[in-house]
Amino acid sequence: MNIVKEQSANALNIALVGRLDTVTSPALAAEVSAEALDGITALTLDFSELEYISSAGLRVLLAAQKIMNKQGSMVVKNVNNTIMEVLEITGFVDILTIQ
Amino acid sequence: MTLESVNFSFLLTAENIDLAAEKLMSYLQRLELENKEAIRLRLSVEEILLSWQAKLTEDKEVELSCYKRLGQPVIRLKAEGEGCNPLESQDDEFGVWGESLLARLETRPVYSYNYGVNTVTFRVIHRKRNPFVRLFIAFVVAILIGFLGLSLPNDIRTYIAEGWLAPACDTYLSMLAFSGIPMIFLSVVLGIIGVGDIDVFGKIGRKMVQSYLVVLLAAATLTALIAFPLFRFTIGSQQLQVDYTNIWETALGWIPTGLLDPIINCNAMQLIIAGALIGVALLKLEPQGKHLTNIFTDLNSVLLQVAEWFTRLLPIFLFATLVKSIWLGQMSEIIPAWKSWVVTTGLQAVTFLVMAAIVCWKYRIRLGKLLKKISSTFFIAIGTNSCVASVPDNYAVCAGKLGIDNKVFGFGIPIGTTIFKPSCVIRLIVLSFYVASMYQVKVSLTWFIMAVAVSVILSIAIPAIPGGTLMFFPMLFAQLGLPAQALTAMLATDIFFDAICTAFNQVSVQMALVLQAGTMDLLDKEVLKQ
Repeated sequence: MNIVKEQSANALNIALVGRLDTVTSPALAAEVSAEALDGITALTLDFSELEYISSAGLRVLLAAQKIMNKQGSMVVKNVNNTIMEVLEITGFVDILTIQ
Repeated sequence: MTLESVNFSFLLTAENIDLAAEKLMSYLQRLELENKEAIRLRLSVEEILLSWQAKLTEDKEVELSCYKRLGQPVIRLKAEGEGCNPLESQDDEFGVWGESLLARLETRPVYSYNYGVNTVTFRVIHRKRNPFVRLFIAFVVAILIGFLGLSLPNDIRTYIAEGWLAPACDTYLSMLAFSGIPMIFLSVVLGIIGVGDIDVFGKIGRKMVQSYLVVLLAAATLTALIAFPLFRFTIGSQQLQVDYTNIWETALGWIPTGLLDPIINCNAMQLIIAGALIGVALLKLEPQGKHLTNIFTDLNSVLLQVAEWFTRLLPIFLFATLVKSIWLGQMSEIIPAWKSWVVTTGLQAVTFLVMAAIVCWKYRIRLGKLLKKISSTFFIAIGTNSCVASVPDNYAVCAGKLGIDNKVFGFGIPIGTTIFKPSCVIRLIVLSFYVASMYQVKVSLTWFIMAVAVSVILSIAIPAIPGGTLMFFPMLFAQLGLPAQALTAMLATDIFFDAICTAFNQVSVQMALVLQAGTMDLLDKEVLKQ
């Protein structure tokens, strides 16, 4: 999985390319850790090129959402049907802000 | 073409967890399982493997097996090492989320730990045709054959009806009792042991169970009071006075006098008292009674499976009952039974609306808006006649539309689905009143008290499977001295109302959880009012 980051001021945009599974999720976890998100008030995750998400990936999203709840906002955008189905099944559609 | 099974042994590395998930998905796709269910299973298996990876480390060998047993697809995970139940991991927010995910499956996986091996087993359920379709087909075919068969000579009709159909119907009722009777005992034992774990959940768990039981008793009492004037009972002039010796004798009769007597005598109250005694003893003696608890848990699972098989025969029972009734001229016993179901459904709706009205009044929300929020859960329960199938939507509605905190519904939905069935209580009470009035059973104040008490207790023991309530009708009838001849008629008509009962139970759980969450300050009122 490739991670493409763009930051401007307090806003951070992360685009994921490929699969967010057990092997690749630690890489995203490092990018959305409390230290990495220090000072960030708006986090956007772009899923336009994300093909697959596993349970490990969902855990990382949950952790990021919990961090951003305290210091700003997190938005997930461009979610394809496959990923959306996973988010609906798990109830994450009620936890995340999806555009 | 036989489906090839999967056997994959691996170490708990990240790569292997992904590979195991891939193999599992491939198997489930070949099984032609519904995509949503396949994804749920994949995510659940991943969660379990991640939990084991954290607790057992990466060098432990794990085995994933996917195979069929008696036509039933099974997924099994095995991991060597110290005992680690991934289904109970609640030490962090991931555990809570994982617990919710596992609860959203139609089949709850089963965990065991033997000889140093942790095992988690999933029984995969294929979504079959809506059960109503089979029942409706059976109903239509029975009516057609029943009325067309009236052209047969009377002696042939009587021979078939009395010689073949009636014994088949009686045998089916015995089959229901086969699994239902021991399940009353096991439900009470395992329920008490489960409630004992409430200490782990602290105040929230205890308050929740207390409030469920209080509402159940209130619903039962109000139902009895409202339903009483709707039926004509055969009551002696002295019978409405309180006969304390009669009540005392009746209560003493509930105490089991032998270990197997309650099962042999099919005495529901004795089964419940025996179950309560053994359940409390096991709780007190823990961990000494752990092996017996495991045996009871396994036996309960087996009986649930048997009960599920039996309830699949409901369409055949319905067919045989209706044809027999038409050919023997007994439709006059069945047709009036619809009255009791109209009363039952009306009272179920009223009870739910009272709870909803309290929510609306307390939190200043319009009734129409509240009903719209919970409508999806209601219709899923009606469509599937399964409270388990509506659980996923129940979780989503509680979190996203009712504003209930996860700490409340994460525990409250499974417990509520198990013990909080106000619609079943109403159903059993109205049914017993109707049969008593229809067949002129002599009743007394003691009888009414018994009817309410037995209905409440049986409702708690009813298993969460389609047609689960039907298994307990024979015991209710036996306990209240109701004529067995009425049983067939009531069962034949009850089948169609089972789903409505299930639906009202599910939405009643939601209303109860809103009120409980509010008292615990765990309710997001902004979400509720949206």
